[in-house]
Parts: sequence; C-alpha cells; structure tokens
Amino acid sequence: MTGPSRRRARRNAPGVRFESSRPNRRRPRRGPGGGAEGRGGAAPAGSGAGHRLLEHVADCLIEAWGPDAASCAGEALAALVESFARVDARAPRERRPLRVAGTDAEDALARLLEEVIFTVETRGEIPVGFHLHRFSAGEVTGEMEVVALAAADLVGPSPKAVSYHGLEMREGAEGWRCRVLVDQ
Amino acid sequence: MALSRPGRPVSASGAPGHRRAERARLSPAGTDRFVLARTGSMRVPGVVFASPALLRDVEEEALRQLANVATLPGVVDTVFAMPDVHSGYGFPIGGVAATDVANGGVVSPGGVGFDISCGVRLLLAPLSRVEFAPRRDAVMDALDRAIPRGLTREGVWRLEGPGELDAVLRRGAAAAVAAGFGLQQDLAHCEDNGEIAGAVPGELSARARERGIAQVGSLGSGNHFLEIQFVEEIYDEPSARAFGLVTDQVCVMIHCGSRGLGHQVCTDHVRAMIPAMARRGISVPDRQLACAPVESPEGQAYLRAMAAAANYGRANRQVLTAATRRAFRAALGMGALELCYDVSHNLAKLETHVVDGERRLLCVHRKGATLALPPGHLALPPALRAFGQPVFVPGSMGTASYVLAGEDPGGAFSSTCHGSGRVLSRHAAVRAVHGAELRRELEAAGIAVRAPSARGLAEEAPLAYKDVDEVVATCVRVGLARRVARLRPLGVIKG
Repeated sequence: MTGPSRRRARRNAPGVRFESSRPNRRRPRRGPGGGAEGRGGAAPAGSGAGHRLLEHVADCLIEAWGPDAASCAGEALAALVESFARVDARAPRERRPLRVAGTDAEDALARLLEEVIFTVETRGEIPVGFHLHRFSAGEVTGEMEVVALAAADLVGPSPKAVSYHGLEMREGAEGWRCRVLVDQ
Repeated sequence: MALSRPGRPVSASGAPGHRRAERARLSPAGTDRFVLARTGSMRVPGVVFASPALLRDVEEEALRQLANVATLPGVVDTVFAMPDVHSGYGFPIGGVAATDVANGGVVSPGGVGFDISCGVRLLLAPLSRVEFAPRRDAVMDALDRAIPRGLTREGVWRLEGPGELDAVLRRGAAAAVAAGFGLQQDLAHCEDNGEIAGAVPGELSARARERGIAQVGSLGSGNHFLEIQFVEEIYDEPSARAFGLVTDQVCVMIHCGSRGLGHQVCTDHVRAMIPAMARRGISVPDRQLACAPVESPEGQAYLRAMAAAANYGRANRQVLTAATRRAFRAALGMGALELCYDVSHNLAKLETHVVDGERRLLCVHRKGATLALPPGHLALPPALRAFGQPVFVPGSMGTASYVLAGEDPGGAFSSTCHGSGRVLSRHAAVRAVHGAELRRELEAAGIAVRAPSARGLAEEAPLAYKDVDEVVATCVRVGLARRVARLRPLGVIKG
C-alpha cells in the first residue's frame, strides 16, 4: 500500500470512443495524490486520453484526462461504469442520445455522469460506450451505447450520486483533466 | 484472520489539495474530547469526541470538513464530530452542526447527506437463539427471497402510480401501514411517528420521482443490510426491559434509507442553492456545503423536499419490516416481530435548544449522527419516555451492534454516533480480505450470509471499519448516550 502505482492507466487516442466493457482485473494499488489509491496508474502525460479510479474511504474517486473537454469527460464516463460493472463485449447494444446543460464545465460533467446513474437505475440499462460530439459549459451533446443490465457482471455497488465536493474539470497546459467523487 | 482487526488501520483520503494540518490545532479538553480551535472564517470552534485510539484514525480531511462546517452562516455554539467520524462530501460523516433560524441560520443539503433519513430500526422476535438455531437457514432463505437488494427496480411495494408515491412522500411509514405493510402500533415506535410534517411531493423533480417509483421496500447496496441478531449482553436492565430486550432474544436490524430518490433530492437542491448563495453573498469553502437561510425560499423548498424524501426512507424501512415478518411467518409459522424503534442518522430538524442561556429554534444537521433524546422527552412514546430514546449502532458485518439510550443532559444537541465509521476504502478491503474466506469465517462463527457476491462481502469486511466497541465506549464516556445492550449477528442479508 505504499508508493505510486506502476500500472498503466487506460488510455485512448483522441477521437476514439470511450469504452467500459473490457474486463479490468488488475489489482488496485496506492497512487499519488492525497493518499488515495489508484486503480489505473500514473498521471497522464502527453496528448492521450485516459482515466483511473482512485480510492476514497467510502466512495469512488475518478480522475480522467484528454486533449479536449469531450475526450476528458468521455473517459470519466467510462471510468464510472468500470467502477461497478463489467459487460460482455458481445452483448447487443442500442444507442441513446446524451444531452445535458451545466452552469460551468464542472457542473456539466456532474450532470453528464448523473445520466449514467439515472439510466442504470431507471431504465435497466448500462451505458458502455460514449460518443461526445460537443462539450461546452452550456451544453454537452452526444450519444451513449447501452446494453441490458442482465448482460453486466456487477462488481461493485452501483453509483448513486455525483458529489460537488472536490469536483474539478479544467484545461491545463497538457489538455483537459477532471477529478470527481461519486457516492456509491 | 479476516474477522480480526489490523493493529493499525490505514485511512485513505482522496481529497485534493489540503496542506495545513488541522490536527495540529486540536487540543485536549477532558476525557476523549478535543477542541478544534477557531481559525480563519470559522464562526465557532469544533469538538471531536474520540479516544486516543480513535483519534489516530480520524483523517485530516474529516477535520478539514469539520472546520469548513463551522463557517456556515448562523452556525451556533460548536460543531461536533462523533467518535465514528470520517470524511464525507462537504460535511464529515459523523458531523453535527446547528444554525440559528432567527439569525440567518442556513440549511445545507450536504449537512443531511445524499441518503436522506437513512437510518436503523430494530425488530424483536419472540424466540430465543436456541429456538431459532434449527430454523436459521429456513429463515435466511425466506429473507433472501423476500428482501430486494442491489440494483433492483422492483421494491416490495409496487406502487400503482404517482398518487401512491405522493402518499408515501406525505405520510411516510403511516402510508405503508395504511397500505397493509405493518401494524398501526409500529408507528408509535418510530421517530416522528414515522411521518415528518411539512412534506410537499411537488418539490421533487421528475427525475427524483422516477428514481423512487419502483424502489419502495428495497435495501439498496453498499453498507445497507438486514441482520438477524441476538441479545448477547444487557448493561441496563430497566431500560432493556422497557425496550423489550431480553438476553438471548432474537432480533432483526434493518439499515437503509431513501434510495435513489433521496440522492436526487440532495443533488437537485445543492444545484439550486449554488446560484442562490451567489445572489445572497454567501460563500462556502466547498460547493457540496451549498446552503440557504432556513427562512429563504430555497431553504424552505429544500426542507419540504427533504421531509418528503425522509418519509420515503421511513416507508421503505416499514415495508421491509412487513416483508421480514412475512418471511419469518413462512419459515417459522410466526411473524409477530415487534418494532423496538426506528431512528434516522441523516437529517436536518428544526429543534429548540438552549444556546448562551436562551431557548432558540435551531436547524440541527445530523450527517451520520443519530438523534438521542434524553429521558423524559415528550417526543418519545410513553412506554419508553422514562428511559430515553433508543439508538441503534450497527457494528461492521459480523461484529457486535449496540442498543444505546439518550442521556440527560447528553451533548451535541442530543446526538450520538451512528456506526463504526469506515477506515478502509472498498477496494482496499477487497485487497485485504478474500470474500470467500470471509464467508467461511463468518459461517464458522455461526453467522449465515446471503450476499450477492463474494466481492461485495469483502468490501464490508470488519477490518474496513473502526472498532464499534471503542466508538460506543467513547460515546458513553463523554456522556452522549448510555449502553443498554449488545447484539451479536446470527445472519446477514447484505445489500
């Protein structure tokens, strides 16, 4: 439980879809940052996109990054699903529109993640692929691919809410990155 | 052995960017009591109730959150951290703070938490553990079938439409009893008679309602559970007798809340309050501490919605009570389980307390802290009134739970702890414990387990939590409550 994780974070090149259907059986290790424990590896470097799940005492802390806001948010969505479900990649998928409006980038991210929670809880579907066409503070649009809940192996408590505590979504010298705490 | 606790639990705070050591500002102020001195924008000091052993496990982040709560407009006297405190969102879990309504005191949805009116109830079965033992597996199997949990969209009570949901939101456990889930006498043994006044279903968003329509009578997941227990030891015979507790008696503890509906209400009102704060010139150090004066339109709207969600949480536990009785009846031919009491540990209440020698109307936030009314309080049912309000403190899975009673004068605005308090993240627990091994150890200790997965079991392993015996002993030493009885598990239905 000491030292940064040496495992690679999941990374996606810009422009590809953000998947959360592949099994991730790697054991979590302690990662950098406030004593949290990472399940995805070292912080991002360069222009790729990726995410990792950091451990929090009672919840799930997501960190994601990407060259632009849409890819960063897409990675956060994939991380959220990965935190509680593994989905059979062969399961039939359907597409659902995604559209939220926030007061700023952080609020927009929180509302976007809430779409996953709402879909899982009320539609009996698990979103597994995300295609964000546009991400601005005022509007996020895109689509998500969903599979039936029955096609998922639930590996953790389902998420119930997105917290504004410590919520970050901002652009830096190396692209966008976000950090969000999800109540499970 | 996974059931034993590690010598030095590891805390895992993931909050970013805290550099100053709050711990350095703590000073001892009597046995198991530490004062967090005022600094910066703190309006009042903090007090942490903790034994030296518990204090070592209190994360810096939890202390920082306590200091942040002390900045809320209108906060009075002191903000408190219970012995089971750990970091939450905005408010620490195990935090108590009161604001003065007449002096611009605010209500903060984060001070109630996402799971509005999450709480615990205890049912008493008229049989001993010896009588129960040969039928244990039959009862566990019946409960396994009867208690929806996890990601279910089908609670025990299939509401017929928005009208029935409105009834649940307005009348709480009373609506459940009226629909045939339980007995009229159950209501007298619920905090607020199972029904908070002032609930307005119309304050809920369509999304909150949609999340709630199919979940009435379901446990959820995470640390929620239904446990069959027995009374292992009685510390206070007269109180135990009044509460209906006898040594070796079988009982059922239910811990759950207001499910997705409560979470949505919290989120919706945090969002509504963030811009309202800017208009009023209120600033808080953490957006999850968003707040509004109790008497403002946003504050009143939240309290009406919170009351509706709290009623939903109480109806939920009432419906699960009826399902438990049915399961006992199916397995044992008897389902006469009496309700000892039902009390929440996530709520804001308008209460009158004496502050600086004056009686004032306060908005008391208890986030992961349990109301503990003292003996003689008129809100208690007559049969319990002389002994103080029952408080249930669930230990971690497989370990002891406690029945406490409110004390006079008590402390922290008549509050006490609510559980053991987590020290390890779920993933750290999974790394430390194999679920299958834990299941074998629980079974070897005579505890039957019905859990959706071995991993889920490991996430709630005892080593992920503080020592409940120490948490309760600290509450007793500082006068927050007194011990009435200790309970041991016989079977766990895990959410």
